[in-house]
Amino acid sequence: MYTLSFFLLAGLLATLPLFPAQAQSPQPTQQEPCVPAPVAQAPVATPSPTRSMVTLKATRQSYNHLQPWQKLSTQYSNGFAVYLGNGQFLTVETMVRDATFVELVPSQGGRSVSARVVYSDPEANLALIGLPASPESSAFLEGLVPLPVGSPQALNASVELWQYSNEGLPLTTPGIFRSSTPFSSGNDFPGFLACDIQATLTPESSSATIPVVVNDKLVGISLNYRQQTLTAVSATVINNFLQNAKSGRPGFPTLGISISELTDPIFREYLKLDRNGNGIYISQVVPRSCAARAGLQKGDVLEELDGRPIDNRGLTQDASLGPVPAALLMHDSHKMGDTISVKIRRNGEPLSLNIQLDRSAVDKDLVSRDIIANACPSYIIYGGLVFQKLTSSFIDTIKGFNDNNLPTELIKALNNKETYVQEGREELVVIGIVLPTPATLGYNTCGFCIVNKVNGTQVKSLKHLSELLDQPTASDLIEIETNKAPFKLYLSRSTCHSSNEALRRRALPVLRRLNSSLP
Amino acid sequence: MFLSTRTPLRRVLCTCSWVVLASLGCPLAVVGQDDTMPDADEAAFVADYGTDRVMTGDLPDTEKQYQGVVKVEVATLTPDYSMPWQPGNYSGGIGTAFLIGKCAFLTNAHVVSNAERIHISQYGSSRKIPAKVKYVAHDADLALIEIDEKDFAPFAELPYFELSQELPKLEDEVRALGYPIGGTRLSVTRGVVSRIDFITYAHSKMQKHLAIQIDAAINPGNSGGPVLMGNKVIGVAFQGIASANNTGYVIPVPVVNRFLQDVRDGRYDQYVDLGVTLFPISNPALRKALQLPDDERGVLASDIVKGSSCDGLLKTGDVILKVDDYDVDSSGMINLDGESISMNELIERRFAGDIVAIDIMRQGKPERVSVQLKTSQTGWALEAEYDRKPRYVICAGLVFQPMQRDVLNDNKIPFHSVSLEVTEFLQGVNSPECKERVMLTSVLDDAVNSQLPPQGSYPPVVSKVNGVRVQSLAHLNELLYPQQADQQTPFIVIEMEGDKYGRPIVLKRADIAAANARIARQYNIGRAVCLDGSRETITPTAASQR
Repeated sequence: MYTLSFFLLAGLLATLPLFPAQAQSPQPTQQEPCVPAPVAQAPVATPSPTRSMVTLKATRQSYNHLQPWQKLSTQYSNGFAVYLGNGQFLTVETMVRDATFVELVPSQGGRSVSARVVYSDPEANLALIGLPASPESSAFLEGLVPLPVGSPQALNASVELWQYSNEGLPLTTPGIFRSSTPFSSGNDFPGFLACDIQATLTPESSSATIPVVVNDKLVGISLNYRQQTLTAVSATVINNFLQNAKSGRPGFPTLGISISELTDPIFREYLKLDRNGNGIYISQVVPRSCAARAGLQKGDVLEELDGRPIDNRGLTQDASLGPVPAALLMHDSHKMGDTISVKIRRNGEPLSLNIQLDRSAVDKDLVSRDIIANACPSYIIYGGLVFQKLTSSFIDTIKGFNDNNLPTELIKALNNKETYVQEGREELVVIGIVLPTPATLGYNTCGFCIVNKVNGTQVKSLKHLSELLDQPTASDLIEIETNKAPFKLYLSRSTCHSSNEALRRRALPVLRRLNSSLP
Repeated sequence: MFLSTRTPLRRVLCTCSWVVLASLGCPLAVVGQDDTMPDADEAAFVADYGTDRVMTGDLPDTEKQYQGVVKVEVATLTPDYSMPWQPGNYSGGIGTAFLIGKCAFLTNAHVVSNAERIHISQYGSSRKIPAKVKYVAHDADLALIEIDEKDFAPFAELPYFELSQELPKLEDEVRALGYPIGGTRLSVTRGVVSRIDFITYAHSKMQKHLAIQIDAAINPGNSGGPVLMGNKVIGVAFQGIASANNTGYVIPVPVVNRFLQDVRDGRYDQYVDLGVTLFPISNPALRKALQLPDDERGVLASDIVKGSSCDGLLKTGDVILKVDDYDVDSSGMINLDGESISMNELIERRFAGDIVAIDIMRQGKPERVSVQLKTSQTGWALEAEYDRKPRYVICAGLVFQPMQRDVLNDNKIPFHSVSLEVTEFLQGVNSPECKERVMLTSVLDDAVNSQLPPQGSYPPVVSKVNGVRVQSLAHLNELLYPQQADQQTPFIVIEMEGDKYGRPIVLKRADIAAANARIARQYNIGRAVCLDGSRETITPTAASQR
């Protein structure tokens, strides 16, 4: 339907030059020269699958978090990237996470160009790709038509899904925006609202990173396609993501609360609420989050968020999206620094609070979510003990190897984060694996625990540990205190030096890596 | 790392699977069975072989030996901990026992555990003689069963089996008598002593004791049978190993002797242990830091279980140099009668109340500590439970059970969801008032509980009821059903351990009585509370008088 009208319009535009601007009445005595018909402007190229999209190919290789000096095996991604203009392309972040090489290929084939990730947000699962300044890049960009970002769609809106085949044939598939769905890119990441679009895609090309288009404007980009349903990042999130990229903001705000449904009439009665009313139960408030600073407490009942009433399942009625989780709606549509109002009930009594939004709940977590583009994990290998930061990736890797089990010492540490914060620690340092060397004889079972002190001084960070290890001591002995029995390990400094040398010669050229910037 | 006699669950799961050998009707390939019966000349040949060092007195009278080894037929009733209000499942098995005293036969605990009815029969006789368990040691996999005096006639002229007071040596030749699968009559297999080691006894799943490994075929049904060298018993056959060939295990006489001595006072008191986790001092830097000379003596006390024998007497960082005047080396081994064994094996042979002297080095200074031995208060949580009725409390369809191995297994609760609570309980971290942790294992669906968060969305271990820490299942029962009127709050608020992300479970007291009645009817529950797990002593006589 839309394509027809497009061609019609194009056809009309094409006929314009045939109509002269103004017919001059000829003078009786003069022979007027032939006025050349004014040249109408060349037709403005409009966005299309083949003009506004390119193929993105990425080679990815993640670091092995248990042996952080090396990487795991290579993986490959193949999908689309959408041209936004100004040399920037939008794609899905998981396509380019830990990418070692990214290249863009034109839709009609031909010479590819190397590209790089300019800005990415793993929570929103979006990434901006840019090209290095070069004649090849300029040549590549010529002929590309930007697809501007449009406005968020309402339920039941008709949309188009753009793809092109391997041969460069544009494919446009109609779809209908059916519902919003909560989507999160990781176990610990705050979720956002994605759009579920009902469509039947041709299986020809990749079904990831497919742009969702309405009136030649980008209103979504797909994350996955399952059972005739395309799940796409919404225009709201894309717009905010692009604004974050421009202003250099670290990401989306997050309240820092965990909520629980209040459909149970007995529980409601116990909380002194009316049996069939609204509101959601706050079961956790992350310390130092913006919610905590605003005064929210565990046990509060959240009844209104950002002016929107919340029902007993945490949903709010949105004019264009229908019933959606209120917390996610707020998450997607606000930016850092915004102030929102909340209405709660505490012990049955109503209360109003204002929250200034930020990301402290995530960014100030003692155990960081360490997905940074292509970051090498920090580590110190001393004598054969491998010291690292306790991060989500480290924990996920151990769980992956160990049937979802975590060693008790780490579980205890995760349950006691507040105590560590009170002690002034910036991050938790762990002993990971123990490499067999003369210095670590007998210590093979001493890994996977928290490092508390070195030579009596509390370890505040991995960098601090590095300094403590280098400090000269009276004796040859280094005492390392951990939270795992026998709680104190001793290393001989001289044996460690020779073990370090042996490791460097044979296996590991770099024994200390403290900054997590690009290698 | 060296361990106390209790093996953490993780490590047990990593070792090979042990096969417990009471025949439960599942056929197994029989390995290397030798079924020629030696006659009198061949018996002399066995004696002349030269390896039969412990033989004294008469040549073995094999006929009399056969008469003294009986087949044990057991009918069992095993409870299902996922539906603890039901009696359980009927099953049965065959094992072996042998005569060691008047009306008394020795066998394995796993042959007679959960028994409803036991019968023994003599070699060559069809008569089934009823028997009952007199003493049982589940932590040593041994049991003493007895028959009535009036049934003892067929055995009256037989000599009792004598236990050899010396451990056999490697390569000594032995014979195993029993009633394994592959036939219905007595079987004899022969082999040598392959190894003497400290291994996990599969019946308790956690305990490690001395065991003799032999290469004579030991198969399901051999359990409880005597293993003989000449005319003396050197042990009781009890388990095999599924993943290896020609490998059978025998409970050695020291373990049997300890059991028999323990029950002399009329009651089995269980093993005692020190409650110290040992850390081998192999690292030279560690040695220097502990101010120890460069000999191979001394093992590090790495962790002390609270409430154990050594709690308050030994500290992390102490170096154990001697136990009862035996020198302890850097791996915790001592030299006993020329054999290098773990120091824990020494403690193994002691009894509750015995005093043990431990010489230590603390912060560079020598000290001597006197420890009175007792059984650990918390180790039972990871041991298998036998001859007991499951304990439980059902309230508004919520089923509460103690945090214990069989409860975890039958309810399929993954270990990682309770690993912290289990580890902390075993270490005695919970206050001395806490006798056991309690779990919410299942919810019997009913209108009274249908609005609760779905199972699996909350951690299973109960922390508090109405703000009070739960110290045991009986305590939970008091908190849920208080006697005093002033404690009968309108709501019952149950908080789960580690429940930082969820909400408490809230019940309305007024709804509970009607709900309990409805649920009892629908789910066929006889009684909602079972706090006493004891079964009566097994008395098969009533059942077998037909």
